[in-house]
Amino acid sequence: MDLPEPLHDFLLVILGSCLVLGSLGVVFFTNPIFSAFSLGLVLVCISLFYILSNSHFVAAAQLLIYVGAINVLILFAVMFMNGSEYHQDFHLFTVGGGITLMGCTKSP
Amino acid sequence: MMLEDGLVLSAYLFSLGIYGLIPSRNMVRALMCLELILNAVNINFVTFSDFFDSRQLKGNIFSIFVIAIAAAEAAIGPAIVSSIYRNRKSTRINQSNLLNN
Repeated sequence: MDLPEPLHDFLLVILGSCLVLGSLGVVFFTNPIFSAFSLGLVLVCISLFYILSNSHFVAAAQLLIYVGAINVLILFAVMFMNGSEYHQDFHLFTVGGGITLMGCTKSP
Repeated sequence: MMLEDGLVLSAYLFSLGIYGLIPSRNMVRALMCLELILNAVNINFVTFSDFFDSRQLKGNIFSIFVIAIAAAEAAIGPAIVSSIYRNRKSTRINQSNLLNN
């Protein structure tokens, strides 16, 4: 998008931080409904990022299909499942989680 | 500035999606992390298409394909999860072992 440069950078910083926090919310919330709404926030932020990247059609398609259909489907799936077993055994750091963390973050 | 931002964002979302997908015991959370991974790939495609291909937009076209595939998979995934839930009364991943023997 043809914005002045500081405004473009400011919008990118806001969208990036919103994306970071939203994706952390998807992975780390124990309640799956919070996780699903956080995924909706992530998808809307990605759509705004596409608008900043001059891809207006993909932004509209993302908003329509991902937020409008896929997120609603995931919310259906979350609401139909019984949520009584989610808070019992949530360990913050498991062995598998630690190994996956080391594998995913070994960037130079 | 915009290219590195897009690529770093895509890498971050992809690794966070894998990090959430592998140790998740709830099937719906696994589906949500799979959507994160597909969106990270889409961001990568759109960023490269914006930077290097402003004429033909090949990356944008392929990201429409990826959105369509993600929609089909998001229709099948909860259907499988809900049928397993109806049979087994729980959504733990390590309980769906009907193919084992």
